[in-house]
Amino acid sequence: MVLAETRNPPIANAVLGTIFFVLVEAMFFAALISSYLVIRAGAGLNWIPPANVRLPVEATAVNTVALLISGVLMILSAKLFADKNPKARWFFLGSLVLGISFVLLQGREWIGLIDVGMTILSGVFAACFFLLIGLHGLHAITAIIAMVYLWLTMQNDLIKVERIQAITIYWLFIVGIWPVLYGLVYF
Amino acid sequence: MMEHILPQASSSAASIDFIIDLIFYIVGAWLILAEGILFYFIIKYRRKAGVKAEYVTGEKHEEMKWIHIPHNLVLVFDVIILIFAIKVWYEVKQFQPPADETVRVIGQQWSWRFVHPGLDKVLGTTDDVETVDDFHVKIDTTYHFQLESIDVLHSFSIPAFRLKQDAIPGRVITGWFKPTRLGQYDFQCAEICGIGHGIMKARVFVETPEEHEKWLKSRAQVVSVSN
Amino acid sequence: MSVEHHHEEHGHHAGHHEQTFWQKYVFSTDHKVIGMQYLFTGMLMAVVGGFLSYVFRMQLAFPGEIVPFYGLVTPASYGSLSTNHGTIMIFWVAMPVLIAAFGNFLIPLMIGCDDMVFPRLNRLSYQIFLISAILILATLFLPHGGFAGAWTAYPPLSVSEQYNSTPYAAPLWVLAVALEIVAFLIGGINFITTLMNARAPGMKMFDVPIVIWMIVLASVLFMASVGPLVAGAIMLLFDQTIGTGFFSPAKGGDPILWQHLFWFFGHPEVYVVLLPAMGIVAEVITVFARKKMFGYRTIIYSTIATCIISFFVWAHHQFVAGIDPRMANVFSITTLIISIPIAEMTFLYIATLYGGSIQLTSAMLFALSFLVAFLIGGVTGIFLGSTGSDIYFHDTYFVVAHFHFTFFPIAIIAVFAGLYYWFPKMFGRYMNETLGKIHFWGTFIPFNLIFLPLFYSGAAGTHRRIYSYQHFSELSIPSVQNMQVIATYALLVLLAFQVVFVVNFFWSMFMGKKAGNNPWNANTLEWVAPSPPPHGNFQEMPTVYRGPYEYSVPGRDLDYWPQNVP
Repeated sequence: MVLAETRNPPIANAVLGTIFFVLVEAMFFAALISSYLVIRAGAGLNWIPPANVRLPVEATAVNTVALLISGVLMILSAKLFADKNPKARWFFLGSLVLGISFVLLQGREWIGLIDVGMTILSGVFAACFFLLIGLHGLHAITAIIAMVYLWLTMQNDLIKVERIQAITIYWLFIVGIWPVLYGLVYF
Repeated sequence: MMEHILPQASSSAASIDFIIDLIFYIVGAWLILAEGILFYFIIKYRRKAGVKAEYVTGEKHEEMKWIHIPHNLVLVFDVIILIFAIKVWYEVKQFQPPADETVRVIGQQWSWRFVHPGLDKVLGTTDDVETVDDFHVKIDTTYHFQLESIDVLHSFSIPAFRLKQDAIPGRVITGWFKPTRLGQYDFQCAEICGIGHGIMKARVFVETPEEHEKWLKSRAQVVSVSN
Repeated sequence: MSVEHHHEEHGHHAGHHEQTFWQKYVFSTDHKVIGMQYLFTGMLMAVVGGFLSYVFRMQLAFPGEIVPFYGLVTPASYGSLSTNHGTIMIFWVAMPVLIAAFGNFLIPLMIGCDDMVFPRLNRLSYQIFLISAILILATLFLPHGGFAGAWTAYPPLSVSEQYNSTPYAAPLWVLAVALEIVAFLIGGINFITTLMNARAPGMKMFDVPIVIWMIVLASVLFMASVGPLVAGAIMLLFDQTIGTGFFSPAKGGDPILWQHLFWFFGHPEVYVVLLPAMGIVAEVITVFARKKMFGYRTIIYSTIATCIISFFVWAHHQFVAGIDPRMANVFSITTLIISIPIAEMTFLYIATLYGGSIQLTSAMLFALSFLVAFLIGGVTGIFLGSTGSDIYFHDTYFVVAHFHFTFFPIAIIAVFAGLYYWFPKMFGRYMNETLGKIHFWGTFIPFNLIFLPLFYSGAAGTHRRIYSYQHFSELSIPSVQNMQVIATYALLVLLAFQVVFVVNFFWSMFMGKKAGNNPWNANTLEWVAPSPPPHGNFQEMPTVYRGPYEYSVPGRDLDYWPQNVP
């Protein structure tokens, strides 16, 4: 192990690095949200969704709850890992499964929208919708890939708790920003 | 000082040149002082045999006050500059004196189109005179301009007037100017707009009312001949 | 990721095995090797960026004439030359050399550590950076030529081929910049985490050398400001490639939105490169004046203040862009306010020289000339930050002269100061001092002769990004055109003298006089390690007893007191 990694700092390396990474992501999403608001304010008549399209507000509400529960499970799993409780990995798995279901169900809703003719090229509202929700989904997918990797690693008990803390911070960011996007874009 | 480089051909030019001069003298003095002290230290404190450097850390107030005093003076001068800068900006960009006439200025890749009110002095009537790259205005007349672009960003710039305003497609931006000096001046596009940005020039002609009327009449004849 | 697991089991053995050429120099995770990779890539890109400026300066001085080693400059190619000169110099020269090269090389050495905390991420960041560099160079050779919409890439021009005539280069340029940003985000995480977590025992935050503070603060500033540009770049890429209308008025979008996203990053970006440059200058002037940095803590606090205020000034780039005129005044106020902490820092640097024992080595000449030139750059910014005067100066050569009087000291002068200073540590040999001094004068004087005339040119109304001023009667008069000619001749002299540096640099690397650990009698920890440092840096990890600038302490025989000496 590189000596630089062993100097017992108050906040572990992986956690500190993730905090700064989340800072970048927060600014990135803040910019997307401000851009959304600016375009919405200036687009006038161009803003309305294409005709005949109704956003799946209710289905996504259910999905939102699932994602929030996933976040809670992740927090609990991090606490249990720190206590070396063997149940920790099951909470982690629960969080991961709910995360995957969020992404898959969102994907299904998207296919529904595309089927009725709303694509990213259907005007500036649709473009903003797919951009914001899509980028969030992409971040969710990368987090899920990391979680799958960690799930596989934790099977032989050699996982460091700082890695669980790191993915928890990242996942909580993704979970936390979602209701903001949902509220802004779907209503 | 600026008037020695380029004539002041609009009523705003003198105000803008004033703020430029004010900043020039203030920052110029600071620059000379700072550079002077820097060079003085470099020369005075050259390494000399047997002479050790002093241990001066800035932690004592008597030492730090040499930084605090200039620091506070910079703040004072910044405020002075801001007061005058904002005053000039307000006069030129925020306040719009009532218009004697209105003109339309339309930028496109890669030319400028001007719509002048015709002999009736009203914009939007059938006797309006449209030109390409040829802008005719009367001396001592307050104009409102309606600035547009039909494709990319351009920028309406007349250095002799000290005037500049970007043109944005999808918007009409208004501003004002009042020419105060007869003559012909460069009209530039001051925002990169593609391959032809460098040839996107026009000419401004500041004329007496009589010259202007003569020009309008000659353009009206051109229009009626071609009809 | 399984490699990482493997690495943990092997522990520190990697340094003791014989490494192949590829492991040691190409796929290394050693921060010093990665730092050198960034340095040499940046230097190569500087040759490209410098060549581009040579071509368009020749066109400006001698319009319509064939440029040696290039050919005829057309209006289309002029746009591409100036766009890519700016883009390459900022993203592929200034940032990699100042932050990634010096940062990678110095941070572990100066905080007393053996490597960064995420060595594999470090290697990945260089690999992504290299891909971005290859990509931007490739755009120069595409059909229809390189992107020509200015480094600011304002839509609608940057969006469609119909406007910009560069259908392939436009999106690929955006992609190259985006990749470069990702590389620096990865690098930044490494730098910040390493500084906070891996300092030598005894090194408190206020014992950290200024250059390290500056590089890490610059990384934080970069990371906090770049998100909006990435968001904008994605929207721009979509507009360019699939026809969304985020920035198209006809489709409900807003071209000014791009400007805000760009400059929200673009302004902090200039401090991202300024900070490391000031850090390098701080190290050089303390060593070669034998003096403690004057007001170390004030410098750190002023820097942090500058970083925070830098988020609130961005629209001074947009005063006449069509923003609400009332907002312009707000940004003018914040812009002049930011001049205060920066002025403070320059005063503190000048005060550091007071009572010193100054040795005018090549490194010191460059460091002092940084201050001389940056003062001019800084005060000329006031003309641009004040709304009233910016109406006139916006998009003129006055702006060009102002930012070259800041960027050139930052990206070139301070870098040379750092290279001449740390060369013995990097390569174990001295550079030739006489050649260094010749290089210095042959750089500093021509630099001034290039850009001082351009202030006059801008004051005369010369607008930017124009391939030839022959059509403009007010700008083709001799007094204005002569400025272009002087600037071009000065550039030719400047470029010629860089040969002296290149020869000195590469010859000294192999044949220079050998240097010991601490040729300059400096205090900071990198001078404890051998020159050059081996893998692992220190034979014994140092412990730190005091701050980095205890020079000429009264009562001591030696005029320096290394941080690791009790």
